[in-house]
Amino acid sequence: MDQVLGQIAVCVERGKINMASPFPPDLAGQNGAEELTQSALDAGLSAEEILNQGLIVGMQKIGEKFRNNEAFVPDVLLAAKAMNAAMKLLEPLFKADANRFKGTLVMGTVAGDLHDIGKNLASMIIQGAGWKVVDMGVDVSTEKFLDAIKANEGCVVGMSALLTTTMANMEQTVRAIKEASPATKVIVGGAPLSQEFADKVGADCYCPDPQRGAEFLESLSAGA
Amino acid sequence: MNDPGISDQTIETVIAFDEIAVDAASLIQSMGYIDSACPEPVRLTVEEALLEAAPHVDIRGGYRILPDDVRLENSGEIECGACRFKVGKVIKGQLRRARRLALFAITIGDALETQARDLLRGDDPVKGYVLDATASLIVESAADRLHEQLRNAAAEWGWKTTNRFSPGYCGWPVEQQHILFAQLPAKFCGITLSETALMHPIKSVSGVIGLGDGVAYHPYPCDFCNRQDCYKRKR
Ligand code: B1M
Repeated sequence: MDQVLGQIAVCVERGKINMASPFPPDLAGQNGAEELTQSALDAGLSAEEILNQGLIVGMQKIGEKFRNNEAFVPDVLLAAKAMNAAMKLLEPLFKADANRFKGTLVMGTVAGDLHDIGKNLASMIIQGAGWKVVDMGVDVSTEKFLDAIKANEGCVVGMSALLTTTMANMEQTVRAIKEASPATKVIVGGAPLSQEFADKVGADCYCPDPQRGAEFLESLSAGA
Repeated sequence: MNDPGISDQTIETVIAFDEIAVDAASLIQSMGYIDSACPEPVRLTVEEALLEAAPHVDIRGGYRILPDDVRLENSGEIECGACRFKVGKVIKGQLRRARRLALFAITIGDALETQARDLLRGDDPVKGYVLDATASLIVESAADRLHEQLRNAAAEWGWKTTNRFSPGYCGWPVEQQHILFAQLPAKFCGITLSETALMHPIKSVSGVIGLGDGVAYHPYPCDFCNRQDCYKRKR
């Protein structure tokens, strides 16, 4: 049993979607994430077990490699593709969001900023860690974040900013969220940010990379 | 020092895709693959992206050479006509001997980026990301081409050019984009600047280049800038 979960994790980490996919070359002709997920289901493993002990483990590994500069953005995207292919088989089996997701992250690029590559990548990795991500897009005003908090009770908020000018807007939004909803956790990321900035504005976690966000969220769900 | 009496001049130009140098190797490198092998699907996507990009780019760039002398202020600022740029020590050092400043901006339009965004959020994230990286590389390379055009023009007056420097780099606050754009015609090359100093289209680059008979172009800019957290340094 453990073996198939381990194989699923490897397929996700290495972006091996199914048997037909020729990549990576050393796994050509072998089962991929799709077939292995099907065999795990056939062997009686639950969707939750496959998700948590197979798919998520694979995404976590690639996330760690990315953080250590041993893997790059396309490698993470290939892994996400393999995970998504397997998820198509699992999705119908989850009876409720509560079984499927560890929690909800409302994610957006702050007002005045249109950069979204980093935000999208962080969303994929956090989704791959078992969280539901509500993507608010780019140029998201404080009001929109506050509305989304109301609409997604108990959510965590994630924000991205790529310019020092829009970091100022991030500061305003974090402060407004903390005032209106002090219990809401806020995580922030983006190239010009720093731990110091995150502390100053009152964010709960600074994410130099998406994996840090996933780890912080994991600590929340573990403590819940 | 000769002064060819360069007057205020603004040039807007269209650069053809085949005038710029983007190849698979530099694109792969720009995505981080330096020592490690690039996965085959990514390599194939890179080749596809380079073939498909051309019809989606509309490169428009230009510069204005300000007619005024460049003055270095003790405060660490650089003054040229109505511009007072807080460029910081690194850039100031490089512009030290400049007689004139050229302000430039260049864009590749938003078609490629829009396509990249749709793919990234939809069916093919890998291709979306590769196209986005392609677009970034194209605009950087187009800026190099524009720089070369200015260098050729300067050579005719017996002058040389410095490296190009952009607000937001080497300690120059990105907010100062507003000062730069105030000196360029409205919607210069189709670029607009938001309140937060963001250019639209996103795949745009702006900056200054120093001109003069005593300036130099530095092929290894990391030697004069010691910012350890700069992403270009990692490359
Ligand atoms: C909530 O949870 C989370 C968790 C993690 C999160 C998160 C949220 N959000 C992000 N993360 C984190 O996870 C992601 C994966 O690790 C990361 O997300 P990123 O978005 O950082 O990373 C992406 C996956 C890939 N990264 C990127 O796509 C951006 C890369 C860098 C090199 C970059 C690029 C490529 C470009 N640029 Co420009 N650019 C830079 C960038 C420097 C850098 N080191 O990042 C940055 C952002 N740019 C900068 C600047 C100044 C500019 N750029 C400009 C132009 C460009 C290009 C067009 C050439 C190109 C494309 C930009 C684009 N996004 O389309 C100009 C502005 C463009 C505009 N439209 O206004 C211009 C203003 C320069 C100029 N004057 O022309 C700098 C901003 C500095 C500042 N002070 O604000 C900059 C940090 C470079 C630098 N100086 O080091 C993490 O930050």
